[in-house]
Amino acid sequence: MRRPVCGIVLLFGLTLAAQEAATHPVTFEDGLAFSAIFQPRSTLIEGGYTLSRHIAVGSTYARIQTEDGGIHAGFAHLNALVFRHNGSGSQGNLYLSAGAGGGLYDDEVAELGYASLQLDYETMRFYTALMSRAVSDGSALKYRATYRIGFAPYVAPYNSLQSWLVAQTMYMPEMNDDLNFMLLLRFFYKTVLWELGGDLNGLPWIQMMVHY
Amino acid sequence: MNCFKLIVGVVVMLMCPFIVYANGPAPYATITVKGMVCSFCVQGVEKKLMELKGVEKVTVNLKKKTVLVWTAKNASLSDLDMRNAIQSAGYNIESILRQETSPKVRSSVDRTASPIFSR
Repeated sequence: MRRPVCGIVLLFGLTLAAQEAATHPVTFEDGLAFSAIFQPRSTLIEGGYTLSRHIAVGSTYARIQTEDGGIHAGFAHLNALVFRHNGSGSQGNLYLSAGAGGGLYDDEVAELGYASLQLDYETMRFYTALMSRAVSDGSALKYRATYRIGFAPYVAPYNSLQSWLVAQTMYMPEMNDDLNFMLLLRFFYKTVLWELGGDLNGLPWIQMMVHY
Repeated sequence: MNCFKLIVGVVVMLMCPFIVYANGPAPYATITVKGMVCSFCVQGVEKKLMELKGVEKVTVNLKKKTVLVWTAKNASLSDLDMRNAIQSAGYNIESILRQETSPKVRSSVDRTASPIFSR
């Protein structure tokens, strides 16, 4: 009965690789953030509430479609903004997150642990981020590393549409193709963000994020 | 000549409301914020400043990294209030310019910012 549990860890870990792009771990005090990512065989929905400048609580739900059914997984996590650099026209962050939850696969339940690290740096024209995430059921540990770099061809005022070009590469050690490349168009309008794109194999990606 | 003065007077009277509207009341304070680089950042700054008692309107110029704060008549905000609001949004204040003081007089709040987030 080891296979289904490992399957949950593996597939949930795959989905978590996308999570960094889903939402900011910590926003502003009393801020709410929601996001959703849709791909042909998976959905990831996340919500978060920021308690203070440094701490937020969040929850994540993931659904992964498999050939013989589907996996549902979810967990609660605590996010910490460990360090922020506020420069004149730039911002850099170090976030740590940890949480616990469970997965359901073919009537079998697995308890899951989760941890992540995120480093990012952003100006109004340039954005880069490095993330690493791990999921474990206590015996198996799966991790992903994702690197993003983005460029804004113009700087728009707050009430106008801001566009970004983003390239993402993801390292997945246990996959045959352990490197995945993705190109995305990112659009900001006030407090709503959309991302549209896909990987080099043609797998599409749609994301929406809203802050309140 | 009297007719000309009369016409000029009427035109000026008619234009007054537009002139006043175009200029509008001056902002209570102009804050330069460090680390504000995207519209999500702007949202947090606006929200925390609008929670302050007496603040009626906040507008942000993202390119200039400046925040204009308008208050109700006779309302008063301290530098500490504004600094705390900006910090709870996750950012730091570079400077505060107040309407009632000379633009050359800069607040010292940037020197009292939280050390953990200062450069």
